[in-house]
Amino acid sequence: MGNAYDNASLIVTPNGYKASKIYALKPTDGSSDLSFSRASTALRRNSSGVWESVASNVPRLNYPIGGGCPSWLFEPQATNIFLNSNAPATQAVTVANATVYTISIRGIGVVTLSGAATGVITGTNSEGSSLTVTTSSTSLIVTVSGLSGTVYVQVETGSAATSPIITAGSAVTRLVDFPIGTMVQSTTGYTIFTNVKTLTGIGLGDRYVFDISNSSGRQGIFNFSQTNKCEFAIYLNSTFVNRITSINNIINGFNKVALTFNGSTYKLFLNGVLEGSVNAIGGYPNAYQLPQNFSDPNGNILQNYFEYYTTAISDTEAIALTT
Amino acid sequence: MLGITTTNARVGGFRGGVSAQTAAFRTRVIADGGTFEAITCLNSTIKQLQSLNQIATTFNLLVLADGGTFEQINCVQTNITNLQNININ
Repeated sequence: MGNAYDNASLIVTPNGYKASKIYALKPTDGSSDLSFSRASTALRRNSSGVWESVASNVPRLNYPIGGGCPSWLFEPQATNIFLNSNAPATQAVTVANATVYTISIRGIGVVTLSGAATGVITGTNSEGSSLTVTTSSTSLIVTVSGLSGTVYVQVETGSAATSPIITAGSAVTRLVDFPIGTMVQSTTGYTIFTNVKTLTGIGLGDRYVFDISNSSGRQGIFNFSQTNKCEFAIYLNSTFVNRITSINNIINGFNKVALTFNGSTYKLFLNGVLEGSVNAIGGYPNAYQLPQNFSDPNGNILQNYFEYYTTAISDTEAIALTT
Repeated sequence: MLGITTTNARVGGFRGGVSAQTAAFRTRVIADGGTFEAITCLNSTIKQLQSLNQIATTFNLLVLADGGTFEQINCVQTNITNLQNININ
C-alpha cells in the first residue's frame, strides 16, 4: 500500500489544460480527464498578475496577486452592462428596479454610485473591490475618478463580483464554465476531497462545489450554504435522502473538505475537523461535475484540488487530508 | 485506509528536483497539445500527497495504541515536511 497520492483513484490539480479539456493528474492514462466547455471568451489573471483573455472552451488557471500557485476559476454566466469597461468613463447605466447588482473595480481608481443606489468603491489593485446594492430606480449613475493604469469597471446582477468582462459599445455576456468528468465506481465506499474558495457572506445563495452522479441520476451534491456552512445533500438515484451539515463555518479563503462514505455512514470533514456524520444510504457515483452549471449567481469558485478515493478513508486520515 | 507505511523521505527520487509523476504528467499534457503551468506547484502538491499520512498517521496511531494523547497532527505534518525539505548531501 502506498500513500495519499498512490491510493487516490482520481486527482485533479490546477496545472494542465487545453480547449475543451482539463487534465487529471491521476489516472495517468487520461481516462478521467475532464471535458470542459464555455461558449465565450473570458479573462484570467495570469502568472504575471495581468488579466488576459482566454479563448472559448479553454479552462482558466487564475493566479493570486503577488504570485503563487494558480487555481481553476469556475464562474457562472454574467453580463457586464457598464460600457467601455476597460476605458471607464462616467455613465448612466440602465438597471432593473429593486434588483441586486454588484459593482466592481479592478485596478486603481474610485467608483461613486448615485441614482438607483449609492456608495463608494475604491480600487487599489487587480484583485479589485466591489459593492453589492439593491436598486431603487432604473438609472444608476456610475462616476469614475482617480483612474491609474489598467482599470476594469463592471456592473452585473447578483451578489458577487465575477472576473472582468470587457465591453465596448454594448453589454457583453460571459457564459458559464462547465467542467465534467468520470470516475471509477466503487460499490463499497468512497472518499471525495476538495480544496476550494468561494465568496463568503451570510445571506448569499448556495455556492455549489460539486455534484456526483451515475447513470441512475444524481447521487449527491455539495455546496456552501447561505449560512456559510458546508453541506452535502445525499441522493439515491436522484431522490433526496438526507443532508449532512458542518458545525463550523467555512473560512474566508481556501477550505479543505472531505466526505467519506463507508456504505452506511457519511462523514463530513472541514479544515481538519470532523463536522458530523449521518447514517444513510446513497448511491455510488461514477461521474462528477464541478461547478458551474447551476443558475445560482453566487457560485464563482476557485478550486485547487479534487481527489477521489474508492474507499472510505479513516477519520484520522481524513483529518490529516483536510488539515 | 490509505495505506500506512513507514517511509524514507528520499524515496521517489525527486527531492530538489522534479518528481517522476510531475514529469510524466507534463509530458502527457504537452504531447496531447495542452498547456502545462505551475510545475513547482504541482511538484509540491505531489510531494505533499506522497508524504501525507505516512509518518504523521503512523505516529498518531502508535501514540493512540499506547494509550497516549495525540494533538496537532497538522503541526507534526508541517514539521515532517520541513525536515523533508532539508537536503543532506
